[in-house]
Amino acid sequence: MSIDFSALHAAPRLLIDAELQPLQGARFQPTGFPDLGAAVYDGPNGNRLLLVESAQSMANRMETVCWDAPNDDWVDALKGLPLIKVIDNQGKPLTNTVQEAHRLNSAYVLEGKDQTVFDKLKAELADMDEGAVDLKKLAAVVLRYDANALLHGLFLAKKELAGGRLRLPRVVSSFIEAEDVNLAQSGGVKNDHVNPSGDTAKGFGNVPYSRSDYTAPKITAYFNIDLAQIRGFGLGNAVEQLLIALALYKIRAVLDFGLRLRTACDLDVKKLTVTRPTGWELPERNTLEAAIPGLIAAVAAEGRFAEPRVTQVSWGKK
Amino acid sequence: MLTLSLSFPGGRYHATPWGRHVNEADVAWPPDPWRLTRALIATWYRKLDHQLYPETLLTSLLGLLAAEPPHYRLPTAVHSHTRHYMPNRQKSTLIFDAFARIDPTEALIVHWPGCQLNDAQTALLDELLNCIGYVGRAESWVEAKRLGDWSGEPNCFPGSTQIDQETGEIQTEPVHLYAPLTPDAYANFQQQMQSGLALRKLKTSELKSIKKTLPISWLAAVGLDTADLQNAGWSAPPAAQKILYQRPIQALKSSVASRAKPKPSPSADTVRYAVYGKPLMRELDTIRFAEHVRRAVMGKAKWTLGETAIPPLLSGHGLNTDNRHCHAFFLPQADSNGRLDHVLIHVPAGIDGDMRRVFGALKLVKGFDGQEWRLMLEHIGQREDFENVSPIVQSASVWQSRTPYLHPWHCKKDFDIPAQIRREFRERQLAEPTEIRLLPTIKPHGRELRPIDFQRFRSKRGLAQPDTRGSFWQLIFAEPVTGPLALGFGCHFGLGLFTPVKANE
Repeated sequence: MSIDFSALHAAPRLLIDAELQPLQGARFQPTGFPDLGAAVYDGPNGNRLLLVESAQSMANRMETVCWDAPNDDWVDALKGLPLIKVIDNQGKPLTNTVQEAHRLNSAYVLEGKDQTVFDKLKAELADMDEGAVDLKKLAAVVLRYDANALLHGLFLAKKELAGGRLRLPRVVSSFIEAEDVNLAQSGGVKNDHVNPSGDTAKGFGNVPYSRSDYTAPKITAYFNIDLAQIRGFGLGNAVEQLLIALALYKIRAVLDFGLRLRTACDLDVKKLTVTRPTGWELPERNTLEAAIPGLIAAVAAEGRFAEPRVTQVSWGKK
Repeated sequence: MLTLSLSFPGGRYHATPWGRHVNEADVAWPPDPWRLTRALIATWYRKLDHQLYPETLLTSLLGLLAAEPPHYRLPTAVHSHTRHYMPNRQKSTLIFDAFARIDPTEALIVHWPGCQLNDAQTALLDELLNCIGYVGRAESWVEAKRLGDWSGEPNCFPGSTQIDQETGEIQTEPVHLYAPLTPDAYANFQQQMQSGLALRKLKTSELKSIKKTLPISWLAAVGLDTADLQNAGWSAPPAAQKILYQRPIQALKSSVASRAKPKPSPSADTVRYAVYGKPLMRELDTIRFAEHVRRAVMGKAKWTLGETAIPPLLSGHGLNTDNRHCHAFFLPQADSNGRLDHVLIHVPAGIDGDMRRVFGALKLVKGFDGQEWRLMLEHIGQREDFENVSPIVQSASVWQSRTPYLHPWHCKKDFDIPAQIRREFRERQLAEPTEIRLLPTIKPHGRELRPIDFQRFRSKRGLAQPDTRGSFWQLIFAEPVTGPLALGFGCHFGLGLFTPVKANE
C-alpha cells in the first residue's frame, strides 16, 4: 500500500493542529514540578495560556509510541529501522537510542568502555574536523545507525567528533498548549484510621494534601514537520518518503494512544486540522502502518542502513 | 524597498540576546538583523540546492540586506517563560526557557526602505523564506514571505529616543540590535585586525583560534559558530555591529499572569442615587438640580478618565445626529413633600466600563452658591431594576406630565404642540400616542401647580427656546410603553418628564 506524497513535494512544512479535550470531565493536570507549579503565561490578547506539554516532552512521547518495550523492539510497523541497543554486562537489554533522551549522543552509547559506535562515527565523520560540516553526510551516517534521530534532532556534543559541531535540527516538533485556563483547586486527606497522628515521614498518620488542576475551553496539540529540511538532507526520494511517513506515524500514534500524559491528564482528539498545506489530508494510522514496511525495505535496498540493523554496544564504565 | 513578513504559527518566539545567559530569561526582541541573516545562511546551507543558488548570489543578497538597517513593525508580544529541570542524573539544574508569546495570526514586519534586489536575488530570497523553518531557537516556528507592497508604519527603527515635544514624555524604549557589517566594512576591519594581530605577541594556539574567527570571506565570518567566537574571546561577533534601535514602550510586555481576569459586568443603562443635603431642592427647580448633577458627572469623568476621554454618551457632545437622544438623561425625583431626594441617570445606549467608574466615584453635587448635596449610589443596572422605586421607568398605557413640557420647535399652522409631541415619538422610533390631552394644572403633592410655577430655563446662555411657558399633557397609548418618557426642550435635564397614571387615579 502506498501513500501519495506528491502534494507535499513543494511544501516547505506540514503544520497540524489537533484540538484536544479531557477524556473524562473537564479538568486536566498540566506538566509541572512540585516547587514550580504549572507553566502559566499570558497571551498577547490577555488570555491566560498554559503549557500542557513541552516540545522536548512531546519528542519523547513520539518516540515512546514507536517502541514495544516488553519485546524490546520497534512496534510491528517500524520493524527493520536501524537503531543502537545497549546491553549490560550480563547481556540483558539496558537501553537503546529510541528510549534515550539524547539518542545517538547518549552517554550509554558513546561514553562507555565499548567504543564501537564512537569509533565508527569518528571514522565515518573524520574529514569534518576542519571546515564546514557536511550536513548531508552527517545525515547519511545518522540514518545508517539511528534513523529516528533524523526526525528529532541530534547534537553530538563531543569535541573528538568535529569539535562538537555536529548538529541536526529537529524536523518534527510539537507542543500542547491550553488557552484561557482557569485553576481548579482541590485537596483531600490521606487517612490513617489506625493511628491518625503517626509519623507522616514514615508513611503513617493523616496527611492533608492539595492539588491544582486546570480547565480550559481550548487545548491544542501543534505539530510541525520541516519538509524542506527532510529534502535538504539530500538522501533521495525513498528516504524522504520514509521520513515523512515515519513522522506522520508518530503523530497519529501519539494522538491515538499516547495522550495519557499524566495520571490526571488523559486527553482525546476532538478535531484534527492540517493547516499547511491546506487541503491535504493526514493518512490514517493503519494506512501508514501498511505503507511503512515497504518504505523501509526500499531504503534498505539502497544500502543506506547498517547491517545488521541493530548495532549493539555493551555498557561498562570507562 | 523590500518588506518581509514573519509570522509564528506556534505563537512563540524563543531567542536569547547576544551576550546574555539563557537563564537570565531575556528575549531578543525584535529578532536582530544578525540573527535573521544567520537564519537565512543556515537555511541556504541546509536546505537549498547550491548549484541552483550559488554562494556568490547568497553573498550579494545578504550584503545588500546588510547595507541598510531594517525597520520593524512589531506585533503585540508578551514576555513569558517556563521552567524545567535538566534530567541530569547527578545534578538537576533548573533551566529558564524565556520566549515572547505572539498571536500566530499577527505578522512581524521587517522593512528595508531603500533596498532594491535584482531578479536572481529576489528568487533566492523567496526560496530561502519559503524554506526557513525557525528563527531563534528551534521552538520558534516561523513562516516568512516577501511582501510585494507594504504601506504600514514601522514602530521600531534605528535612532535616538523619541520624546513627545508637548508633554516631554518618552515615547520609545532603546534596544541594541546586532547587525552584520557590510562586506566592505568587514574587509577593512579584518585587514586592520590581521595587521594588529601581527604586532601582538600571542601564543600560537591563541593566535590560531582568533585567526579562525577572522576569515577573509564575509559570509564565513557572519556564519561563524558562536562557540568558536566565544572560544576566541570575542565579547561580540567581529563581523557584527551594535545599532541602537527604538521600540515602543512595552513592546515586550512583562507577563501579567497573576492578574485576576476582570469579571464581565452585567449590561446596564440606568443608575440611581439617593440625595442628602439641607435643604434639598424643590421639584419646581428640577432643571437646576439636573444641571448641577450633570456638571458634577462631567467633573468626575474629567478627573477619572481624562479631559479628552469623557464619553460622548455622558456629555451628549460629539454624537451623530441620528443618535441625539441615546445619551444620558439626568432625571431628579421628588419625595412626597416635593423635595428632590433621588436622581436617576438613564443612558439609553448603555453604560460601559468607563461610565461605571465615573458613576462609582461620584459622591457630591455642588450648587453655585456653596450648597452641597451628598450622593449615595444605590444601584447600577437595567431600568427594570428600578420599577419599584421609580415609577418613571415602569410600563403603562397612560402617562401624564410631572414637569412642564416645552415644545422644541416653533409652532406653525398644522404644527401645534400635539403634532410636535407626535413628531418626537416618531423621531425616537417609539409608538405614537393615540390621544393627547392638555392638562391646565397638575397636583403632584396635593398642591395645584401650573407650568409657570416651575423653573423652565437652562442656565446655559444662548439656547434657542421656542417655548418659554410650558404646558402639561396626558398621553394615552394603544399598548403600554416603558419609561422614562422625557420630551421637548430640556428633556435631558428633567423637563418634559412624564409619569404613569394608574387605572384608579
